[in-house]
Amino acid sequence: MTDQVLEQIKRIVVEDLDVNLKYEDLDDSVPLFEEGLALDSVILVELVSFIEKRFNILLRDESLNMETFKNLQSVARVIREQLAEKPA
Amino acid sequence: MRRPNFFIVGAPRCGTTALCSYLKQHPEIWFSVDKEPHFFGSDLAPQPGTVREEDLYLALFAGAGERPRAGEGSVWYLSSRRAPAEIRAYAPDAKIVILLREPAQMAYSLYSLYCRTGNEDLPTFEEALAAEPERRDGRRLPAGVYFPMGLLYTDAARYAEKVERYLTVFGRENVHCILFDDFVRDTVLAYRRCLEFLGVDPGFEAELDPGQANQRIRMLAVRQLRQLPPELLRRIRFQEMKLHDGAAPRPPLTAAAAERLRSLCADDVARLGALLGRDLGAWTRGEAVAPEPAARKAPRGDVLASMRALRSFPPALRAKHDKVETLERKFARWQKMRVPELSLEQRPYSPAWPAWFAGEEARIVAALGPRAARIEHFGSTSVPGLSSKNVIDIAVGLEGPPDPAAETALAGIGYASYGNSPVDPETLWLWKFDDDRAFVLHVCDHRRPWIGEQADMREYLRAHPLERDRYAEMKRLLAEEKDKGLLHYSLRKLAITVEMVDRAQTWRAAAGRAPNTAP
Repeated sequence: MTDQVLEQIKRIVVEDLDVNLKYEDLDDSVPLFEEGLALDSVILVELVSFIEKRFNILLRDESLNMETFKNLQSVARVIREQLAEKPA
Repeated sequence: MRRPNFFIVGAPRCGTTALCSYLKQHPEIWFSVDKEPHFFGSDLAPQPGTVREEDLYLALFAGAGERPRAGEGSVWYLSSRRAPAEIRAYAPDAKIVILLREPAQMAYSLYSLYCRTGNEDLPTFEEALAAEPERRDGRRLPAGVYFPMGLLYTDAARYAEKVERYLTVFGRENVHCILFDDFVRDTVLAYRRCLEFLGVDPGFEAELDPGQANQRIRMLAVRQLRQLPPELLRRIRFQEMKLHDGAAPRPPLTAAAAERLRSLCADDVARLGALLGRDLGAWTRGEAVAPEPAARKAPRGDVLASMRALRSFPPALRAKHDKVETLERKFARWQKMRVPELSLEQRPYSPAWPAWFAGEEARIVAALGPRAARIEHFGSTSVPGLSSKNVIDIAVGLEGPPDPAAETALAGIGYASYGNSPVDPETLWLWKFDDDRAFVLHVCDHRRPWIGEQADMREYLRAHPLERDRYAEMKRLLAEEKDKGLLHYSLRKLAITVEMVDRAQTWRAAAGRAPNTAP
């Protein structure tokens, strides 16, 4: 089963962010920082802002921690949680 | 809107970024997520990340809340002639932090950075140094240049005049200089001192491993960044891209280039050393500067004995003493004082002492000019027949209270500040060490009463050999109680001094002489 949320995040990274990464580079569990995709803080803010627009949610400040941004899977999990809380 | 109240002003490539990553972790400090906005320094050309708009600049500190310190770290403020006055006008209570590194290492590191960012295109550091005269005239600039001033590496590595400018504008107590060598050798200590200077909890333990520190502050950065106006975010992004662009390996710093730069900066290093009261001679050999001469808090010693000495202070003398500063207050002040570590021994009287004083008096007058209203030699070295250490105590009475200009002038002839003098709370205490001797200046408004008292006592002891011998005997007995600690010793000695001053004043009045106010 394809994970819709994860797919959309990957597309944001490849198409929207100015980071020169290819879709093939994006393993679900690759770390987002130094030894992995080496995203810096500014890129991270852009990622957050694109995610918020795409999913029409507002990530809470307390969600902005290293646990959330460990890898793409963990980002997707937090997004799914917030989507589930949203009133239909 | 909240304005920043501390500034790390440079120099570039001296550890400012690491220090920032440590300061950002501190709960009482808000640090601009855009480290180098370069808002001040209207004589600096704008760089890609420069923020000249006040609303954008203040947005960087909007989240500071009630934190006592909010700061930023624009490394070219140090080179700017205008930045000090501009910062002072905007943030009058600002504290300034300056990091400084051996000139050749700093300049080479700057060259390497600019090779990565595109501001530099010459393949070797030697060529870049050789190109400085042309570049000063706007020639031989790289196609991708974005900050031509940064290419004048030798200028960037000369610090003394720039540091002096900050000392003059802000006063010594508001400027904290950190040597890269000290910062690297004992980061914990350097960090703690910086926190003490900023007046925030110095006991906070930050993550000091650079990689770990970045991890720890990354999410803080994200939270700060998402509050910023998009325009500001765009500029920061552009700046980051420049910093992290391709990094071809640079040829290492050659001995010849280092030698050339060091000789070009030798005079400046000497001047800086005098300004900071540090021996920077190691820099001219390309070595790390030795740790600061050990200054320690006066050991408390036998506190109970000190308290007894305080309580047994003769009441009649106490009334005289407490007029300027109560004994309790002086006791509390002495407990916190920094005392230079001396290994000088007690010597019999030497006629060299007044000669040394005379020589030093001339230097002080030359340094201070018309501001020097009164200079007095006092203490044991001023009375023939008394024994003493090779420590010449000199009262320097100024027209008006001491200010940064006076302190800077005295730093120029080798004096380093140790806070307030033990004799008087409104008197500065400056030391100069010179092989096996030391000069100690007590600098204040010439109207402070203690100068006349010390001069009276000197004259009285000079005129009364028996009293002089009694004084010497009291000091000798006191020296035997040295095991009770410096505080105890100082309190007991103070009682003797107050008594002697009292006798001296009675003697002078009986002789019908005017109060000892001017030489």
